[in-house]
Amino acid sequence: MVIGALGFSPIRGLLFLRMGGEALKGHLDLLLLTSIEAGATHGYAIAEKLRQTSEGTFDLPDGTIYPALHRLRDAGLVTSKWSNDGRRRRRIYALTPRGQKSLTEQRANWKRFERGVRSVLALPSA
Amino acid sequence: MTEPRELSEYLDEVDRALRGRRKRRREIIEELCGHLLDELEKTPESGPSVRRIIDQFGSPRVITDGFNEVHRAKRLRFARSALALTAFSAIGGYMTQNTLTPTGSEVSRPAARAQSEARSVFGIANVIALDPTTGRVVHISRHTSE
Repeated sequence: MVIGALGFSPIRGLLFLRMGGEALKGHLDLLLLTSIEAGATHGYAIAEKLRQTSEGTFDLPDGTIYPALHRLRDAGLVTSKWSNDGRRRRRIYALTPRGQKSLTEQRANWKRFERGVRSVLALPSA
Repeated sequence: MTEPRELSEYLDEVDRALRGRRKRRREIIEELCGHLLDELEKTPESGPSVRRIIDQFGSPRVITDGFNEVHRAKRLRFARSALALTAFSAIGGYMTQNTLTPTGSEVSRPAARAQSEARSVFGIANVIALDPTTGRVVHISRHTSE
């Protein structure tokens, strides 16, 4: 059925949103800014990095990161420019000083949130 | 690498649903196409098919909804800025119009008295009279001393 076809289903995008994807959406900006923080890079590399560093936990539909990246660019948190490596053009994203500041704030908010949840769940500190 | 037919059809579907100027849509399609071609090149021949890679990328609906939302937000910001600028210009124009009054019968009595005194005492060529009752600059005139 639908859940069994989670791997490569045509409606995987919608499933992602229903099964915890909404929680991820709220933190997608933080994840994207963190991925770009190490250095200017393009969307494909960002998606790969997210998948690998999360050990497969954040296996979101790759295409969904692009509207988010464009939103971050419109908000002035990242810049983008086209780069040609000989094979094809790629849009490279880089963090702005404002983006770095936002990332620092979001990280602090996340740590506060995580401490609160751990406290409520009575889990040991990380 | 040439685009497989399924990839072209997918990108055409995304392009049809995207909103905004042609240049913006073209660049979005180019960016998405680059990602999918990167994925295809990385995939061995025995790996997932083009169709499965496209499915993993996300449905056209999910992708375009995201982009169109970004486009809508940008247009809303622009409209708000234009409205604020228009309102500011209108207010500024109104205030300017009411501050500088052309030469004529609109000059108030206290201002006219002050202007007359300035002419007789100083004999200056140009007189700007400050209306003491309203505090406005009410008169700019050219006067040659007698």
